[in-house]
Amino acid sequence: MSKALVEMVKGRMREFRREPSAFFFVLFMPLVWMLILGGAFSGGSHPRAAVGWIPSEGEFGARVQQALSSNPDFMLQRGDAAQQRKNLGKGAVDLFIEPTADSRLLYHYDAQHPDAQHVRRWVDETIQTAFGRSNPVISEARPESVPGSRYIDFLLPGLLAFSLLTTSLFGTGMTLVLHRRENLLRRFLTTPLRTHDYILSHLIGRLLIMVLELAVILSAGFLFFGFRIQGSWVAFLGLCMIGTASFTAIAIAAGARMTQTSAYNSLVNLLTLPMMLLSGIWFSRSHFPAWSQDLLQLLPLTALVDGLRHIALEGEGWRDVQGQMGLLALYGILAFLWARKRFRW
Amino acid sequence: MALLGPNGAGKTTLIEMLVGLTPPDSGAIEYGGCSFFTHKAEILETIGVQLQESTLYKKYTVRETLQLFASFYRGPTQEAALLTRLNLQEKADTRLEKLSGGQKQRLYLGCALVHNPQLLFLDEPTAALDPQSRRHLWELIQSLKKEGRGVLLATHYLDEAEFLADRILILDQGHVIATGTPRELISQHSRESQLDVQVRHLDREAWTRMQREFARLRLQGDLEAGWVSAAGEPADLEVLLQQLLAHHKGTVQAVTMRQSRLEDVFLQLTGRKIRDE
Repeated sequence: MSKALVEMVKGRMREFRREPSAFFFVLFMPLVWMLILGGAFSGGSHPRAAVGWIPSEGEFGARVQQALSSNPDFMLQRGDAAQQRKNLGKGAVDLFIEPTADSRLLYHYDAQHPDAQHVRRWVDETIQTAFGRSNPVISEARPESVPGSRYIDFLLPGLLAFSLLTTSLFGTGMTLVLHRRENLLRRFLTTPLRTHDYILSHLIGRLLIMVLELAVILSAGFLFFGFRIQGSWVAFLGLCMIGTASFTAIAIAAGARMTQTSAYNSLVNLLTLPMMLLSGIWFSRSHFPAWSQDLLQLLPLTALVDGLRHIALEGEGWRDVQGQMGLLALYGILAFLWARKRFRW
Repeated sequence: MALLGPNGAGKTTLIEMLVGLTPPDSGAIEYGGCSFFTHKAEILETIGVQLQESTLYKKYTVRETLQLFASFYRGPTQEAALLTRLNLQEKADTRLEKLSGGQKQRLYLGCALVHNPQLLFLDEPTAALDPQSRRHLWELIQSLKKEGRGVLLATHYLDEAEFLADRILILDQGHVIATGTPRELISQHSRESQLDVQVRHLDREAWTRMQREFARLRLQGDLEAGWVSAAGEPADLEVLLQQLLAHHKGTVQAVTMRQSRLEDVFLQLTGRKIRDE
């Protein structure tokens, strides 16, 4: 490493330390997301279904009500038909039950809603058994605890990947544009400082900060939620490094000729916001139609998130995330070549 | 050498071409016989540049900034001595964002000096500085000259060019319109001296006679207000002055004879004033 590169990397770290907003953005934000969302979705240990019940007179109605309310799996919401329709609309109940005068039950629910079908069967089975149906085959539950199956386990690698993306784009990339606007870079051109030392210093500085991000997010995940990486730590770290390097190259390429921070800001928002939704950070991308999945997998953020989840939640290693690593590396190389040609001091 | 010219003359463009920031449309740039473009890396080791519009990392301290620039160069560097010379020792650990304009300019000069270059390019180093800071910077630049370093200074301040420069290149609208030492320029392009005399009472007849006799001295005067003004060769002006003194002894109150200045040279060459204020 040349003298200049060492000095410049020291400079990058210095800039980060002395910029309080960078600190907040990079370290504090992901924590906040994690704690809020992780807390919101951690829920009780006992999954329950909310069921609406239209009370009626008579023995039949009373028996049904008894069967449901005595079962801890259900939360009963009483109310008349109009109220129940409102409940269904609001999502306060998945289904509501209307007993008829001739002792039948009508189940009202939205067939499009995936949970509703399942709640209907559950409710029906409970009521049937309570009224005396017997099952010919004896079955018992054997709960298995699968690590890494909570929402927080799903979310954390996503948050990490997203954090790495935004830090590279809004941190490193924005800094470059700002420096260019202030004619800072031009001054360097009159010195023997080589372009690749300058760009490399940004990359190395970014990787060092990445280590900090990882440490903070993973420790918080472990401390507050017991999050663990099931698979190879080394592969996890390696994938993070390739992802960060790739995103940083994209950031440099995106701002290669820009001097207006507002223009850069717009471009980067245009890139990150859709990706944030499409890559499956907050919710699984399987919700998107089947035909789009191949395209979604080609997004750089998707590659990183999928890879990190494979390693963290499914216990996989280097070999299994080769595709994702390769894709990220490809994006990085293409971005680097582009930046090299078009970079303006 | 000073590059003198009004704003927009091309001084900055010229310097930027010489140090490799802007490619020239045509022609060649050579340093000691070596083409700039083929020997760029080596040449950059030997030159120091202070640009007009540039800022540095505002969160770095003075010391850190000098260290950064020092790291770019192969040769030995002398940051500590430099701090003393720039009179920035007390501010060595202050961040750039807290420095005054004059202190910043001294630091920028320091960044150009940190590797002990033989040749310096300074683009308007005293622009927007208070008079005291300007003076300090002038002294610094003079000491650099004394050390045998070459300095190319771009400025639109005439007093700066007159004070510091051994040779001046006058630029206007992208062309070199004159070159030489300050004395040479004045004597070549503006041989005139200026004479201003205050007389309490000037005889009307004498005045009319003088105007005829010294027509080529562009005599001007106001009999009531009591002053006479003339421009021309010092020898001729002396003759006029002697006449005035001889015929109006006792009533001549003040005499000013001044030499033409660079201002007058520029005005002669371009028909415009160099200052835009």
